[in-house]
Amino acid sequence: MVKGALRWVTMTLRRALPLVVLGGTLAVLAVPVIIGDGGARLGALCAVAGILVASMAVARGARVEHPELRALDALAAGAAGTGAVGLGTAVTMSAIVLWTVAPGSGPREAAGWPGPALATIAAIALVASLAWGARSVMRREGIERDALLKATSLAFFVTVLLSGGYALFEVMADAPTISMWVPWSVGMFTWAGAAAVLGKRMA
Amino acid sequence: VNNRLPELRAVRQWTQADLARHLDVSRQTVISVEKGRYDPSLPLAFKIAALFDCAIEDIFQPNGSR
Repeated sequence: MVKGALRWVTMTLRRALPLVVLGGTLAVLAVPVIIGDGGARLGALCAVAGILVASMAVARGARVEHPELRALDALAAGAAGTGAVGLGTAVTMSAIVLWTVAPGSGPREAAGWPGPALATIAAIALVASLAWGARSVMRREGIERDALLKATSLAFFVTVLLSGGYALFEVMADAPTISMWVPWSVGMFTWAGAAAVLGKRMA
Repeated sequence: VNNRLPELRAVRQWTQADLARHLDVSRQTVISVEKGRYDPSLPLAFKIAALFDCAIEDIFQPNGSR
């Protein structure tokens, strides 16, 4: 009986939690949109867009794993496959970059709570969308899982080889130090491109 | 790998979506398997064989053998 009650509580929480988190997140982000300056508003709006897109992807994964989650159907219907995860990632990262570089909202000026809060929320949305999306793909056998694994493998090797190769020039030929965003971008673009090409080829 | 999936599916009057639901895979995966572009794993092949109540070799044959 205790086991049954625990299962009921877990299922109820699992159903309600995504909507509660989404609602709470949007409510928190509404504050900088209303009272913040230009940079804060832009950053918050981008984060809201990113979180909405990422949520669609998460909801889609949830619906696949838990068909009983009918409440998320409308949200899930807006997600166009794994592309939504990429789009959510891109928009969320844009929000962070905008927050960092926008005039008057850089790390030093944004000493209050909105900056760290926005970064935390955007990071959670990013990680959750990627992790849940990848998990839902990996759980089911098929061409999607194969394409994901092959694309991930290819992106890893391309990133390691290029960054490793450039490191030699940096150390031995005094080449300029590159930002950490360069290998990150190379890896992401390679992964996205390889996943798209492999998905098309295998379909 | 050649396969008789379209034939077996037609006998049961299943759509590709029906078969995908029974196998817990995407419809795209069923399409690719039927066209021979994607070779299913051994567990999936066993699942397909069990679903149609026959042996794996009754459904899948190596290329060139009929």
